Amino acid sequence: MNEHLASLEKTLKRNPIHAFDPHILSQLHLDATGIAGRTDKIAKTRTPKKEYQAAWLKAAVTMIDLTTLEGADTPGRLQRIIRKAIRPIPNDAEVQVAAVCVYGNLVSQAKKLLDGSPIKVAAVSTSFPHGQTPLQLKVEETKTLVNLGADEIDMVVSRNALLSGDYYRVYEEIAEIREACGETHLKVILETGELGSLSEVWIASEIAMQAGADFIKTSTGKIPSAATPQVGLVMLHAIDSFHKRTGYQIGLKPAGGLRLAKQSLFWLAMVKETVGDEWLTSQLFRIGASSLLDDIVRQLHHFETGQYESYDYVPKG
Amino acid sequence: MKLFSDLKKKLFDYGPNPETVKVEIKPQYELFIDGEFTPPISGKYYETINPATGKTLAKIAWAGKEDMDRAVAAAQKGFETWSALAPAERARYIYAISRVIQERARELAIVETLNNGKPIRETRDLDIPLAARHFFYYAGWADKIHEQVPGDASPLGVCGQIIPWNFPFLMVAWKIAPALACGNTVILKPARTTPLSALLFAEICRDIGLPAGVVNITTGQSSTGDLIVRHPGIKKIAFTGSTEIGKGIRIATAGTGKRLSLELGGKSPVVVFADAPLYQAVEGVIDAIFFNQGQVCCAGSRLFLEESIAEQFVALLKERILKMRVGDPMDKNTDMGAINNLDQLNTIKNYVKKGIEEGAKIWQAPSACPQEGFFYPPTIFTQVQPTHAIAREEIFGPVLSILTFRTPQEAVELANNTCFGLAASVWTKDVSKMISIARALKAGSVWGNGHNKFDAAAEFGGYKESGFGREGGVQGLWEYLKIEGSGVRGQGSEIKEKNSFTHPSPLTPHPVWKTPKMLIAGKQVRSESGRYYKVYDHTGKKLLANVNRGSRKDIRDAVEAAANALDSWSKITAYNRGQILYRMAEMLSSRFEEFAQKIALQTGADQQEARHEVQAGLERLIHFAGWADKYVGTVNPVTQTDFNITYPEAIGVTALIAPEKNPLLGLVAKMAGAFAAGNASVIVPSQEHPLSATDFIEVLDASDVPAGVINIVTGQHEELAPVLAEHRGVGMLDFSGTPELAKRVEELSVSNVKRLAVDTNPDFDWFNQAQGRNYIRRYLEFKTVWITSGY
Repeated sequence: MNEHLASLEKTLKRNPIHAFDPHILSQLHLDATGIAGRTDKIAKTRTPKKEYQAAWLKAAVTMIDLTTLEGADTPGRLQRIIRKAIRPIPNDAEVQVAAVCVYGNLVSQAKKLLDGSPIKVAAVSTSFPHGQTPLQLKVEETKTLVNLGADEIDMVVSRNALLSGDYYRVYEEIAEIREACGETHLKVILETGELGSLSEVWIASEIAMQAGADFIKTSTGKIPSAATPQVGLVMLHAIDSFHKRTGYQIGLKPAGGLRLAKQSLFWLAMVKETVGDEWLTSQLFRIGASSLLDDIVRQLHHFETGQYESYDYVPKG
Repeated sequence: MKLFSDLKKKLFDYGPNPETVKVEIKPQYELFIDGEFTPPISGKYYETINPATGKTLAKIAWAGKEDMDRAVAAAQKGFETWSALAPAERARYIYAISRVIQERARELAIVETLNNGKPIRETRDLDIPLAARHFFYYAGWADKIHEQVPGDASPLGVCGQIIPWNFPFLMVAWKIAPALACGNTVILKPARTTPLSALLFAEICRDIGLPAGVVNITTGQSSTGDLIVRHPGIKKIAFTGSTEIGKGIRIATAGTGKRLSLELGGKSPVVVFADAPLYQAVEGVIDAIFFNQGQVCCAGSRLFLEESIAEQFVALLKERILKMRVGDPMDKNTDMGAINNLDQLNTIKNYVKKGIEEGAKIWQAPSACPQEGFFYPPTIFTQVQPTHAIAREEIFGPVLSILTFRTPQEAVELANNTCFGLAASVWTKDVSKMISIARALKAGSVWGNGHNKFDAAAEFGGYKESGFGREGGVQGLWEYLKIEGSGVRGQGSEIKEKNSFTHPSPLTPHPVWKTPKMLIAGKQVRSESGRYYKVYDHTGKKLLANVNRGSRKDIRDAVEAAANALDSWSKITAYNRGQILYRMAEMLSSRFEEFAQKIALQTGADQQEARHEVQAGLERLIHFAGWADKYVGTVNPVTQTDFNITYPEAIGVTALIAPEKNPLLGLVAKMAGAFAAGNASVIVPSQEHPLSATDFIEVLDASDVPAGVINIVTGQHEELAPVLAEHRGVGMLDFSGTPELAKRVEELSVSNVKRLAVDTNPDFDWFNQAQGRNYIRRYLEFKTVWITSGY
């Protein structure tokens, strides 16, 4: 087993809440054209093939937060998702996803269904997806979910405060939610599609990390513009510079619009090329997705048999 | 079925990702002349190899003298057909070429990679698509040339094109597309080591039914290139390659009237400010120096870092370099392939050795290069001083020299401290700083927050010893057209017998004895040599004045004065330059009769004629005063998202050798044109009739001309013109005079690859020519600026 896989087991030094440093926010310079050029280059020049690709795809599955976030989610639907989480690849019992990601009222049931499994239960919080409620309610919500047994909390940042330039309020909210989380890990959803520019994505990432985020996450999946390669690269640069400055490793979770096996290969390659192999574990990289898994199963089928697979043959989640 | 545990050892390697398409390479390739492949009369062949393996790919014909004669004859015959075609019809052929390039893109990319050693992803994503784009772009120009170029424009004839091995196919496109669009025919010689893709191009020409003789491909070694350069049937030489060979071509073509465009070497700066987008700047450096193994004429081989970020930047850069993949060019995950040839590999090694010896600190990625083939790892040097060879000379390999600066001004000074001027990049988030630095850098292409971007719609070409002429864009058309009024050598102006004027009217000499002075650095001075020569009236009997016979040292001082004036002169607005020219016109107007008299006295022109000349001079001043703020650039619709502009800039110091004829008008036309364009000038007035010029000094004195912007040195053209031609501080020489002296001037101009305008026609019509947009262009350099856009 490679060193980086051994690191799966290692305990990360958890990111604490840092003092708010607004000064640094004015020094985060980026160039959107250069970012697009770099993501394009990675996409065109970093593709694993054949059994390497199969290995990467299976590894990608272990980093998936299998997600269902619908008003129509029912206990029945949850059961299906969880079966799929436990056995995502029909003919390989060694692979399981990293977590299931659900709305808060399904946390108890999910925990029950996953009892004894290493698969985590992640719950969205803070009035997901809009976040337009008083902080007090968001804190209450988070505490409740933690008490219900959620292993991970996916909160949304107040775009409202970000876009009006009230960075301190953004910081303060995240820090309070982080307090409310206690030992539970916190992913901060930036909802980058609403931030207006890549510079703002970096600023939001930096604030979230200063406020103690364990992960930064691109999107809620509820608006059309989600985990674009460019947004991902900016967040990786944010993570890299924060790591170099503070020594803390923050995780990345792209979510929304990730449907193809090829996209997961790209994201893994982008992580590898920027922050490095060390980040290629479910402790530091997650992919928020639902249908992605089905395409990965199809591509693995092709790898094994040389035949192209239909979705009809992939068990539904 | 493989379980995850069986596969884990593959994590997270990419594994091999080879290009799997196979192409057929023939064992032997012939010359392409007159529309068909034909064995060389020379009977000679040589072998071309794959630099990644050292293995022979094919035998290639080596064209000799008789082959070249055949090619030229075919191209001349082809020219009759091609130039007579309707432009729209030419466009259709060029369009067909681009279409077939797209159809055969994969094959071309593979052949290019096999023969050149560059990664398949570069040939696939850049070389071949961009080549196709050039043909599309110029296909579009073919029927619009007369809308774009004012006046009468016609093709030149047979063009000889010599291209390098670093972008073998792309250079075919850069050379042939504009030449054909303008109605010329071509003889192209690919580089010795990389002939294959050009031969596939020949197949494409044949397959689309391009008329015979329009494109001829003569493969061979350097002797073949020499045959092109010296062939009397060839009207223009377009060369891309080293500065050394470019200079040789300049000398070889001197005096022949051949048009010339040279795209030569570089040592391009990458200037990174502390407020740069850091991660993109690091990536930009990767693009700048490791793209194509650093074998790029505009490679960013000198990195200038603002001191405050130097350490952090170098650390990030090293981290990034460690992620580069050097190896099999046919692997789609390879970033750097093979160096093209053994000679080049040795050159790189020698420079690296020299860098270490001179005290710079080397760092190389420890990743192993393949054992066979010509590979070299990404290399950076820190602690480089501007005096080091690795900071001054073109290495043409993946070797970066890193220097630091403290202020924007120092960055510009260091960046411009080179004999080259092909390209530059500037990295900052501050757009006003970016634009101001981009304007101050002496380079044909400046990229803001980027490096090594190219497009058919954007001009490319050098300042200084990086050559002259532009490829791509609108300006690219000018290289392949004979344009009336542009006054560029090789425009077909026939040398005629000198007219003798017979003018009887005797005139009274000036009542007070006047000592004509020279003008240097804003002061009226005598020659430092103390020499003089006698100037007589038109009868040759009456002494008009003892005129200073300027010396080498006077030229030295004048050029120095002009160079010193440039800094503040370049900050003066175009509007103000115009105002000064209007003021000159006013001053001249108030002394109208006196100037007319002086012309008549010297040349023997009759009063009417002399007055006519003064009037023309006045009008010319006003004409160029108006042009000062109207010679505009273009915004280019490039395929990238960048905002791309090409605009004219002053060349710097221009030397103007005035004609003997029309002693006032000839002087004023050149002076005003160069002045309007923003240059500082050293002018040598008519040798026989210098008094109009020495009188004009008084006009200049009264016109608020800043000191040093115009300098006038009187004397013998035979003596002064060569000094100016070889002076490295002179960027451009506008010469009027004899063919013999013109040849000498052309030869000497290689000292710094000077831009030249050469007029050897004693009957040049100064009254009706030497004005307008076509004319002022000779005093300008074109800079293309790329600015990223996005948020």
